[in-house]
Amino acid sequence: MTIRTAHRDALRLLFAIRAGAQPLGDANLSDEVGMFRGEARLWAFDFWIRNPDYLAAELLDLYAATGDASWLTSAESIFDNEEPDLRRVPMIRYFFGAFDRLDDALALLRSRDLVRITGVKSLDKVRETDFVLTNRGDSLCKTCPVVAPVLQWYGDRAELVAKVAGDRGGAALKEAQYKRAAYAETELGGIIPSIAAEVARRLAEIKAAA
Amino acid sequence: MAKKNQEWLKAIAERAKADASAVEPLLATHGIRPTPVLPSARRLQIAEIAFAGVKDAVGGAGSFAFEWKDLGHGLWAMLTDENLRGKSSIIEVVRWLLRGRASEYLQVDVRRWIHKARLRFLVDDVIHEIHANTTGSTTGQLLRLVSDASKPTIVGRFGSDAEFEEVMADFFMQHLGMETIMSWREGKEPQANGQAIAHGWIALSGAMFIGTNYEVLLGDMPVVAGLNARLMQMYVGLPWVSTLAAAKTALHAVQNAFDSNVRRAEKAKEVRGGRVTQIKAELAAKRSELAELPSDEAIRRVLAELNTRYTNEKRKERALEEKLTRELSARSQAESANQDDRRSLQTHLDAMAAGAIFRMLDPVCCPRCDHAIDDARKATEQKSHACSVCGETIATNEDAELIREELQKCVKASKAAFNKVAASCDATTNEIAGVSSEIENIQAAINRNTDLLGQFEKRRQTENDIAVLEGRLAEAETDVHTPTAGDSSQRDLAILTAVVTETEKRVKDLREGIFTDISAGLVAYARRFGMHNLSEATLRSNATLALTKGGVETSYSKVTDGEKLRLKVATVLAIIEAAEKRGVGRHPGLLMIDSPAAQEVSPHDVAELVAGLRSVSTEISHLQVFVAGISSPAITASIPTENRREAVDGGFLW
Repeated sequence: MTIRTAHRDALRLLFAIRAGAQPLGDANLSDEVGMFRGEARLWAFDFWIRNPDYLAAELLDLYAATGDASWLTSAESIFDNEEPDLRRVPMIRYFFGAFDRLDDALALLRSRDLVRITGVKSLDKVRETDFVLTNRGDSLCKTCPVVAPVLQWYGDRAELVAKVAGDRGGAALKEAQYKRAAYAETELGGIIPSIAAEVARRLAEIKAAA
Repeated sequence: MAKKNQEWLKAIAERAKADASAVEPLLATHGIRPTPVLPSARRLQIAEIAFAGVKDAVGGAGSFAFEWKDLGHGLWAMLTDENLRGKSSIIEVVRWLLRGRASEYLQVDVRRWIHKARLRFLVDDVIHEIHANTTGSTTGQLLRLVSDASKPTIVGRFGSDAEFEEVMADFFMQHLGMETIMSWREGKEPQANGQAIAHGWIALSGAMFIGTNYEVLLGDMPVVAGLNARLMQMYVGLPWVSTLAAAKTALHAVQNAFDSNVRRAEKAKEVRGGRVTQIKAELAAKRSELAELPSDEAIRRVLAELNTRYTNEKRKERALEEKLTRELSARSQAESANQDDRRSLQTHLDAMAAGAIFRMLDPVCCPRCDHAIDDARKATEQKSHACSVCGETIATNEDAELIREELQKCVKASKAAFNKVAASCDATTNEIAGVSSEIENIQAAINRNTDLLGQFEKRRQTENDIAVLEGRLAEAETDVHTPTAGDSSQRDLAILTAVVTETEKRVKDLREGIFTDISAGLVAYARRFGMHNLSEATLRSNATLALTKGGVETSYSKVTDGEKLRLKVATVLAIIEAAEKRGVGRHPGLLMIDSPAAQEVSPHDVAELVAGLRSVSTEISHLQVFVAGISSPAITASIPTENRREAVDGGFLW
């Protein structure tokens, strides 16, 4: 029994790109809506979507730092919905090169012209890969929840991740995620461990103290 | 006499319902001797009175010597025309020598003046003499003179006042055939014991002297319970009198001791009752304490059973814990499997939806080179279902639905497995909690019983305490000697009561007649002494005297001193006379009367008394009466000159 997940992964990335894109607002390029900058940043977005426990830990940090209750509510909701168990998409450690290749998914997005891949090049070296959200891609994101409500979650989650990430760049996000994962003593090349139990405990403590 | 004694003993034994052999030792113990017949009265007669010394008084200083010889039966008088001229002192010197002790009436200076004294007297016809040196302490001897020629026999010597008294008392009690009179003096407090008092020669000799104290009818002892009556009975000379006195005194003493014993026994019983109650309470407490201390064997049995149960329960607990470990592992596996299944289902659902979305989208360009897909490729795809990009056959979504169903079954199955194993876990956990709690209970019971094993010493101590208390209870419950009918003291009381009753009966029979005689004689003598209006007198054995004078009933204590003097003398004479007539009586026949000062008893009374005595002394042959008084013609007329010692014109008799 093989579950093919290429389409799901592609859509996940599409929602991530859309959530983290800056509007282009260029009238001449009417079929290009926004620009998501940096492959590393996209990977970081994808990491948080695939690992709800790590995102929840980040939300609790934000709550601790700001006192904003909405962060706490979001973290609670993650656990209430058993997301660390059900939504987790295990991934190989990727920080130093070897990681899940997203090329297949990106190819699916590209072939439908939902996303266009561009970048900044100096001489022959690509210094930065950027992702352009096309009008088709943007429309599809809007259509998806209507056609398939089960996919609503991806849009919502991508929006939340974007909010958490803010205007931090890919390097900064990678740094933050790396620290937390290293703390969880991930062995190189191993599966990134779940920190769900630890975060759930922390959440419970916060709720008990509130 | 022996016959009368036997009859008396037998009567006592019968009355007391006792054996005669029990009666006699008791009588001996209390000094009760039968006196059914008295020896005939001995006569005492003064033959010579002599004393000498040195006076240091004003008006008569110097040495002196008084001597009065050739005294015999009859009436004798010492007369002066003034008081305090030595007449009373002569009587007191005689009294002093006879008793061996001076009376309180002998004046202190007179006692000091006298250095030597001698008294010759006759007991019946045997001459005796007392020679006493009285300077300071009295020394001397009592002699018996068989005849003038032979050497006197020394009856007794004395080196002190006390010895003098002892020698004279012994001599006269024996030679006059007197018995010591016992009386009983009650204790001052109701609970205090009384005591028996013996009255000897000092008391008995009082019947020979009539001084100036008229309180009692006979003798000169103060009124003590029963004493005057006994003195009276002694001189009346009734047989059994001394026996009765001794028996009464013994009865008193025994009764007193008995009462005291009963009181003590009752008190002891009361104390013992309290003690028994207390011991019983202590015993009950100790016994219940012991009942709560199970025996060691029982404890060991219980412990063995508890240990077996403990081992069994522990084994059960271990098995359950192993089972729980297995179940928890299974639950964890089931939980993981269920999570995996649900995640797979979610993934599949997401993937199916995503696939459907993508199927709506035709490829626009090549993802590799970005070249647009031309219409020809699109047409081919429509016809052959070959991908317009890569040419591969486009798969339908048919098996995706199968996969979904399969995954949903998996989720359901793993959930069911989880629920089942979770329920088992809960059941096992509960079971373990139950077993653990049982183990704790058993452990606690083991500890409790192990502690009880250590109480062996306590148990032994408690058993010992109980044994001691039981012993004490038995001891306390034993009735100590309470006087009862069978007791010797009770028996003694019965016998002594019988002795008193039997003796009293014998005394009474004789007494009735003799006291009637004495009373009649008393009236006759008193009348002869001038009490002409005395018509009747009743002397009772308790020494009271009822009188009828001038037709009015009165008694001794109510008449005048002059009448009392005459009644006292009349009583002695009546006793002597009645005794003489019946062959009883103990009075030795000597009477010394000291008449009082003129202001107390009139000279006329004395004159009448002396005149009466004058005639009486001729009627009773062995009577010797000395009267001291103020000279008067009436007296001198009654007494011949040779029977008088007289001092006239304020002179002294010595």
